[in-house]
Amino acid sequence: MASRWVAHKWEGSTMKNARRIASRLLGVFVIGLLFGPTAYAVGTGAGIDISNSATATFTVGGTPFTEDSPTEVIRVAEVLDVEVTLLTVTSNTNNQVTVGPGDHNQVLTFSVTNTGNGSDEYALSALSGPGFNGSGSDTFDPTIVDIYFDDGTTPGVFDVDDTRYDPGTDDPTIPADGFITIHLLNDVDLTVVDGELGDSQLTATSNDLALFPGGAVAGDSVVGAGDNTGDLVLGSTGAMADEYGTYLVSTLQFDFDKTSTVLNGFGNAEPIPGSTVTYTLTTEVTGSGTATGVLITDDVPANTTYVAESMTLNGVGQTDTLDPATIDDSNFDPVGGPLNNGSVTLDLGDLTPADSVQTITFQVTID
Amino acid sequence: MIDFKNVLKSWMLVSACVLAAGVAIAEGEGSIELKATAQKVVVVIEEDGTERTELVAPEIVVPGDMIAYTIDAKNVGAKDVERVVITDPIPEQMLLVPGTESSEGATVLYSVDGGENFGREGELTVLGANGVPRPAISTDFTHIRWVFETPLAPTAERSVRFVALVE
Repeated sequence: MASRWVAHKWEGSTMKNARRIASRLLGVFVIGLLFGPTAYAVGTGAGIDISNSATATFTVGGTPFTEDSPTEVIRVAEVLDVEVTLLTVTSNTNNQVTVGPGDHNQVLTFSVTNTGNGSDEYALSALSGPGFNGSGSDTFDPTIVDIYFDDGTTPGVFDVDDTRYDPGTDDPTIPADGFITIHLLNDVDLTVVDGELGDSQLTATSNDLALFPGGAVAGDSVVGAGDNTGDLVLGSTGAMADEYGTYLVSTLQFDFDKTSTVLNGFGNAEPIPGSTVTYTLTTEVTGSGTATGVLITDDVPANTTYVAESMTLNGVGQTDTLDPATIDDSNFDPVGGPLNNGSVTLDLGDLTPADSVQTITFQVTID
Repeated sequence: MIDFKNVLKSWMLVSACVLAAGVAIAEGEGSIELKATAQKVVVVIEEDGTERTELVAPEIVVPGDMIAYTIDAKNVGAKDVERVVITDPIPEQMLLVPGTESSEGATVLYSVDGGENFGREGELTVLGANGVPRPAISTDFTHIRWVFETPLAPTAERSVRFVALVE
């Protein structure tokens, strides 16, 4: 064959490219005019007819006339395309879902988006286990449990009301430019160790792909099989898309320690009324992963009185009032704790093993 | 309020004109035959890697495709046809690819209000998102118009063309 056709990737077709191609076609110099970025969120719907008719007005011997051209109609073909995206895992900067050995029903959440221009039905499938290593760093094989639709009470979060997907029976229909959220659940083997990674993949395939012969590539078409009896065209994704998520085994350890030192007016450590007691609380995270939203609360003991503004974090003085604007927020609640003798609270935020030991101190006087 | 009586009147006037045009053709005094052709713009890559652009029949058209519209005006009458003005709406699902409109022997005008008013490029404004008028750009154009600079002699034919992108 002397030449081959190039299928236009419509979602990537920019006006700049269009101008380049069109200018070559027409042999004209195209001036760089003001032109806003053109986004084809969905594109013209499948099966829509684009009509065009020109009109000429003219005069013959001073008499005006009007003439219309016949109407040209172009029917927009149906493009089959789909995208699968792993939704951001906010608790992990590498977008990994933290799991422990023997954990059940661990959730990877994906969105499946119909990037074609017609409504389509998709089959979903999951892949895990030996032979699948999406990230290239996969060292253990999660065990696929099920695929669930995110149709429960908490959008974006797997909950008991979400519906289990039954392949072939309730393949979802997604409108053009629409998306659905899918949860992929896996179990984690008991034998995994800290730091291991396991990948699991979700695949969405347009059921209309079956209308194409095997080996069909982007740009191939089936006449009359699209919406409104237009043609059906295989889009740039080949009407099939997949994405994997990764589980990170974390045996996160949280070590907490508390010590006290007493100083009385005589310069020794005898705890007598009026003595100052300094409490030191240390917090350390070991293993791997992230301890999110670490909140340290300690009660002021009975028969003591909290020394105002005595809290420190890593040697830096802290206020007694809540100030959500600061990262390490501290608070003294005068009636907190079981004895209503007050309590101190420090918000340490997220801690990882890379963080140094966090040291909190506060003081009380013995009544 | 729309004055329906006047609308009806002007419609009747238009009908009368169309009838007159029919009569003109019948008498062979001079008339234009207008033909519009839609073709798809495709890039062909040769075996040696060079790219070539071709126009093909628009059998399969998807969003992002470019369509070249060619309008041929032929004087099929016996007299000169004067003051020829060809107007073509840019289909609402399409955007004019700037710089692709032919301009040889014609003044090109545009409309941004559905064909009510026409002006040269650079003369037209539209309301911006903030309610302040801004210069119109090619995506604002709803119609394109060619005003022929010279009459069309009997049997003479002239074509105009533009390329639009399917949104």
